[in-house]
Amino acid sequence: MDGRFLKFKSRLSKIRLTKSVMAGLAADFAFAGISLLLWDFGLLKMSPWICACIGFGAGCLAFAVLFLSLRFSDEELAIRLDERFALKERVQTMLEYGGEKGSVIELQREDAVNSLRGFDSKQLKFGRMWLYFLAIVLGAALLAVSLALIPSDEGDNSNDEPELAFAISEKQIAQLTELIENVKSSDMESVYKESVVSNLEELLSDLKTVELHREMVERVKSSIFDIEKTIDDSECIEELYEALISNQDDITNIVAEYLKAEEWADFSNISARLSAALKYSAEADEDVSSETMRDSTKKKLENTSAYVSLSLAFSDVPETEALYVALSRLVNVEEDNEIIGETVYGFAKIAEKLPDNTYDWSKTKIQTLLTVMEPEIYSAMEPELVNISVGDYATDRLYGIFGITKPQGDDDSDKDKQPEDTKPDDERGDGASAGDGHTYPTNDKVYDIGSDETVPYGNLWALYNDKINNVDDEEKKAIYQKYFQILFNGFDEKGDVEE
Amino acid sequence: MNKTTLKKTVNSAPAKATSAGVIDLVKVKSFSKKINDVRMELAKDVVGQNEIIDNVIIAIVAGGNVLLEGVPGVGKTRLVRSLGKVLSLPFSRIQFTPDLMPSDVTGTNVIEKDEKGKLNTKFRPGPIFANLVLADEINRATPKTQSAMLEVMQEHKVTVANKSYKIQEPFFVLATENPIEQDGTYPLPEAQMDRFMFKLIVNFPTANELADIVRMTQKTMAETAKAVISGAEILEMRKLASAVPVTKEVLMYTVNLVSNTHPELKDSSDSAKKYVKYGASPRAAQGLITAAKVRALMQGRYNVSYEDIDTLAYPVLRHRIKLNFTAANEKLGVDDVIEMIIKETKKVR
Repeated sequence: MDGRFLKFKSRLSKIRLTKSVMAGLAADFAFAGISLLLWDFGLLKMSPWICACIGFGAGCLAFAVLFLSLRFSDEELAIRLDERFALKERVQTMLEYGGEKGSVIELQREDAVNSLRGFDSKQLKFGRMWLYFLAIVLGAALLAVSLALIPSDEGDNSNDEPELAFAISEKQIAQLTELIENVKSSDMESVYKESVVSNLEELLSDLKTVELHREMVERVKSSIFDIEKTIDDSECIEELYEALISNQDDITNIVAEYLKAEEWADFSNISARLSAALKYSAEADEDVSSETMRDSTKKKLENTSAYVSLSLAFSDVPETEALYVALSRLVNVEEDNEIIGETVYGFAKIAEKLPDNTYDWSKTKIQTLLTVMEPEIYSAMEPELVNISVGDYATDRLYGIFGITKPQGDDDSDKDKQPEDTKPDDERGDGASAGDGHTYPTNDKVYDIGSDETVPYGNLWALYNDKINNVDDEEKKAIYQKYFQILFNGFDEKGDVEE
Repeated sequence: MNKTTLKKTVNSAPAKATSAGVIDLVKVKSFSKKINDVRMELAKDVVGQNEIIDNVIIAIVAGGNVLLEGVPGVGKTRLVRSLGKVLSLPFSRIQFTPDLMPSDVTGTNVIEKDEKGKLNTKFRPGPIFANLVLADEINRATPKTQSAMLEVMQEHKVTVANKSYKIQEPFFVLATENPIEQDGTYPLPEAQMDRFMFKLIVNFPTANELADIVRMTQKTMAETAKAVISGAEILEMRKLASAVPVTKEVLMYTVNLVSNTHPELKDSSDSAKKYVKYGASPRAAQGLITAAKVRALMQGRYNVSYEDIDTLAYPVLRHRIKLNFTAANEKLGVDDVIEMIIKETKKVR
């Protein structure tokens, strides 16, 4: 093969390689830029390094495709040279008859070689290189834009996973899930098992929920506090229910705002009218007997519960939402529905019992109702609060599920931040003190909302450990230990603090 | 005939240098010089018509016959006579007339009395027995007489009374015809037309050329060209030209070009399907390649190029393609249709 021809061949190979590399670069920049841009706008949920890998992969693919498509044979090069330099098929003929001998053949070869000598290999141009440069520039520009849009740590964190309100870790969630499975496969009595599983699953669901409605929570808490206070301050049954009904406006308004259901707004208007009517009835007729008052209230309460039920049915709130479930339970309670030693009474139940109830009984039941209602609403509305005091919530649920009392904290409770506990002590579990200070750890140090400091939780663990060791049922004990281990991340089998 | 058969036909004709024997390199290199010498000598007697002269030389070296068509007085006969002188070949002129008989062309057996008075039959050769034959106004002869030319043009031999008489090589027939007068003429049959390698149109000279002609002929009407090449040298040049290599691509291009003139073929060109009644024969492909090799050598090249094929396609194909009524209706000439077919063939190259 003639040296001059080989020079041209080398030149064309260089062109091929250069174009392929440029195409690969352009594809790399473009694809990396596009995927990074999608990541910036939250349309892609993956690490930015994956975007770089996508770009690199696209670049390699583009390089390979173009490199293969630009491959050429000696014949194709000969055709190209003949056309480019108007050699009238000299090079092609030389190539085809390269292996043959003869005077004319040799003369032809010599003629072709002499013709090629008149041209420099650099005259074989790259061709449309501007297109490749433009592609690289556009790709680089796209990448630069996408890099510029990467949010800083202090600024927009839209790409980050929303910070979980709960301090519970993935490992803890996994362990809780495993606990649920263990309970399901255990030999516990089915009724007990179902209830434990249901509550654990509900707890897990709540622990995973991330919705911040601090203000809403405060208002609900405040309303419930007001209701409880009013109930405590009431002296007769009329005042009792008036407080309930009148405060109902606030609750329903809050709930309506939360649910964004227009029915709730109407419901609050009806409640206002009911309140007015009730007052009017009381004021207008001093001779109205208690019995008549009770009947009247009963009817109004029945209407209310029906209306609540109806509103729930026609609201846009999904039936799986905890609040919906809680309120439905409130107004459509089964007579024999029990939760581990607690009997939940809805309005209907109260209404039924009204003629026979005494003031004291009613007061107690309402307080109980609120006590049960409160965490249900909290579970749907205040994960943020739970984040602050996950132990509080957890221990409340634990108390509700397993009858485990809350540990005694070292610090005083933050009475300003939590509603005053008006629950009669005989209604609480042993040792429970909702208003006391709490430290609820997920690590060695725990955060105490009362003192706004972190304190060692070893003391708390010791108290819990004592409680658990007093449990007779080994299976239950194992479940409790597992549960504590999940939540508090430090409890080992020996009861020592885990490092 | 399909492309494969056509390709085989073309390939079988010329031999490659490896099997052609030893060719003197000096002779190869002097090829162009000799051709140039012929051109210069012819230019002494024939003004202009350079392209015609080149094509005639190509046909002679390639071993083909030429049909010259032109109006009277453009120098057709003069060209052939001068050519005869330059080639130093025995030259013969046959004036074709309607009463010309075949035996007037080929020769005939005559009865002669020998010295002893015995009557013997002796073949008296006709004017066809020359190296260079000018068949003037060939279309004026009857088809019977025209057919007498068929054997000699193709096989270079004459058969009279079942006896064949070989004609000395190199042998060429240069025929002329007048496109104006159609009365009393007999259009050449397709078979005979196919025997001509080229059909050249001798156009009316340009103003400058005409001025030169008048100037020249005012001085003398005599033809002053001298012999510069012999018949043997022409045969050597022919052998040399046959060794010129042709690439597969150029060969297939030639085959495709000829095939595209046939409207009945499925893959034929659109122009052929629209304007052509009958396409060119395989001799067209053979003639194209043979002539292209000579042309390449004349241009100082040692390989056949697409340009050679495109340039020679007109003289090779114009008398072999028969146009249909659509072409006549659109006032398209055969060269126009050949140009279209060339363009279509180039597209798929």
